[in-house]
Amino acid sequence: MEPQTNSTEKSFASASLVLGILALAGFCTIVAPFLFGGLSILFAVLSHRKGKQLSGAALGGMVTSISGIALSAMLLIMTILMLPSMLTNEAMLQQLNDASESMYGISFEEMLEEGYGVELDELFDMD
Amino acid sequence: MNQYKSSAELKDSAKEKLSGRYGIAISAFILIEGITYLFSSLIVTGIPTQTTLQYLIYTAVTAVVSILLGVFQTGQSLLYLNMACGQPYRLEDIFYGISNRPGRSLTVAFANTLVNVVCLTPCQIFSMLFMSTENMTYLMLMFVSAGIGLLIYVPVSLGLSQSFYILLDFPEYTGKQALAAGWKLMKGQKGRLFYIQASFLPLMFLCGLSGISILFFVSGIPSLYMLAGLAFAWLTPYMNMTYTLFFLDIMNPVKTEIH
Repeated sequence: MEPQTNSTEKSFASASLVLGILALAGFCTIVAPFLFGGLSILFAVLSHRKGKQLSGAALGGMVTSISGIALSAMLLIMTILMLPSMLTNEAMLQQLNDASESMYGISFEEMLEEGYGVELDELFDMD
Repeated sequence: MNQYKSSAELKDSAKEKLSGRYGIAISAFILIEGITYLFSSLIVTGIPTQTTLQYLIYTAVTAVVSILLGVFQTGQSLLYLNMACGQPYRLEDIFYGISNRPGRSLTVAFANTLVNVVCLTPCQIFSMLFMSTENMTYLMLMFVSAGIGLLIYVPVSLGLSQSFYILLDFPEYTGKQALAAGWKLMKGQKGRLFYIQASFLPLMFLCGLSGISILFFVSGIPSLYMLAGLAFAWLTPYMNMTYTLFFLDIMNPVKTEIH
């Protein structure tokens, strides 16, 4: 039974490391670290046995996935905090409208107005 | 004096028992979730929930579906018990509740669903009324009913939690007898099981985060929404095996002598 147990533990630890690296590498996408990082931490936990040290691969998976999630969360918070200044900047807003129009055929401002009844001018008290 | 295993010991044994068996445990999870999804989407999805009456009809239909699907709980328990005890196991075990006196499984499932509906439906109704009227009284009632409901639901559901295993361990028992035996068995053990269940919350939260991220990638493709449960395919077998080992532990505790 022991070799089978070890092989399962090793597989989980390796999967944890690979997913952790993907989580860290994709931190700027914001979404990827939560997807890969969550699975990576789960696999690291499943690879750990009581009374034994966490294997190098599982530890690496833990560190990279937690780093990826932390960086992604920081980026998300920064984006939310910077959103008002980004949306009140003419050049930025124009860029966002162009990108939205090319992707969805409708500008960002129109999307907010039609979809949610929100007008940017009112939202940020723009003159 | 009875000596029971700690939460960490049960979890460690669960990992050992599942070693090399994740394939069948994950297959069983996918099969049961798939059947539940199909059954629910065919019957429940079309029912409107705009008015209180419609919501009550929706709750009643959901409860009936939940009772009928309860037969898989018996089969799932058998699969995990076989794995935990080193007995031969196969994927078909999950259909055991259907092919072997389904009335017993339905009785136990009925009791579990009844507790769920009675304790948690008032909160859901007040939540729905608050959403439609924005009356703050409903919001207050929602919190009060949620508090009272959970205070009753948690201990009662913990008390009934071992009934499906009892059905398998005592094939001669009727559904009612299994419920009573499960209730008696859980006396003095509810706190331990609650602790074990709560200890899985951080991992469940991580799996939930992972699921939300998957939904972001597959948004607009409803047929792929089930992928959101991907991480649970590994977590659920681990949880189920731990609960199975908890049952075996309270049934066969280690006897220690006090000098």
